[in-house]
Amino acid sequence: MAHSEGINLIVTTVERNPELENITMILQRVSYGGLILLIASGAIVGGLFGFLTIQRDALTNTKNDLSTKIAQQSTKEGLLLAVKERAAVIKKVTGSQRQISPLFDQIGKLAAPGPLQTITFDENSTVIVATSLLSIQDASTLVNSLMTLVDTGKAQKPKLVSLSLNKQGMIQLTVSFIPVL
Amino acid sequence: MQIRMGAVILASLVGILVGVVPFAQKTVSLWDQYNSLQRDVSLLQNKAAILQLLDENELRSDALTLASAVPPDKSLDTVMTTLDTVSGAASVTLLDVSLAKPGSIATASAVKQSAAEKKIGSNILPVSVRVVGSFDGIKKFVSLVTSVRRMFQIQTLGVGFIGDLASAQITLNAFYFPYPTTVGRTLTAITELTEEEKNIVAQMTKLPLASVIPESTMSATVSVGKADPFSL
Repeated sequence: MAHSEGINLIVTTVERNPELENITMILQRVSYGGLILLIASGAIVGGLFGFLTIQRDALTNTKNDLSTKIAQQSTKEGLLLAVKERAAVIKKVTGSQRQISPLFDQIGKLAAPGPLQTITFDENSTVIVATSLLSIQDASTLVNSLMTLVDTGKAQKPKLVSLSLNKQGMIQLTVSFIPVL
Repeated sequence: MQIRMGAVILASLVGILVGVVPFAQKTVSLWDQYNSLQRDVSLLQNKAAILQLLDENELRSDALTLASAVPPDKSLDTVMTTLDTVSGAASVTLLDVSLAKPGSIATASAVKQSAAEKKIGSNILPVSVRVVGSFDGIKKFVSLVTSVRRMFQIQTLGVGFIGDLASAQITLNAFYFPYPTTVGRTLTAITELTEEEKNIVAQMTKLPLASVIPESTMSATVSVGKADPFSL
């Protein structure tokens, strides 16, 4: 009997689909990449977290130790604060301090104590000097002396407040100015 | 196989979203805490170093020196003593001392500060003084009263003359400033005494207390308020 060759209807070869192969390759790469990313990111984040936890705990201990040390020196801190606050106040007071005694020297140049009647010095640093003088000549001398103080920069805003003659024939002269102290 | 690979991809995605991302957020928060702690520790180390270098006795002495210039309370006794001693040193007679707002002898810490007080940063005690003496005596009084350690500031001056005798009405401001009742929080930074502050202490140290003004014929005791406010 002659050997008969049968027809094999079962498909033994698979048709290759390039598109599908591409997709499979891409999927494979993406899945490997995803796994690597998961593992790597997890390791990095986990490592960092662990490191920071250790450092934070160490810093917290250090902070607590330092806080305790500082609390034990609260008296020193209080004294330092007291000195600083008070020094700031004293600085402001001395900064606004007005030395009045040179004013007496200036007034001494205007008139001797004899003719002086009153001197006032107010909060705006305005000085008012009232005198009782024997003659117009003395009044003129006083005014000239005041103008000399102004010219030499030792006084500002000179004013003749009043000039009168009293019953005794005395010249009542009142001037005002702002001393430069 | 594609399904297996898809499952792997999905699992990786879920793992990243559910695991890694929240964990990363916690790590970022931990990083912020770490930075904050670093700053705190740096501040505390600086503060501890400054406090370590400070001499408590020296600080106490400085505080007392400044307190004799600007006492922690009205310290009416030092006002009276100083004026009395200064008038003696200036050879003028102290006729009258009056206080504009005596109020309570204790410091009225609850009383609101005036604009002038806020500007100075201290409480003000206005004092009115009447002295009698020579022209030179009044001049010396005015000079001395602003040159002693107990600080006064002349506000107004009125002098009347009768012959060689002068009578002066002077309004002065004295100052007082309470001690701090609490120190700042532990995390409040401090600085050492600056050169300016040290100079102020040195300047005040040089100014005489009323009891040691030359030519004084008055005995005087100067109280500087609380001698040791921070002692137990």
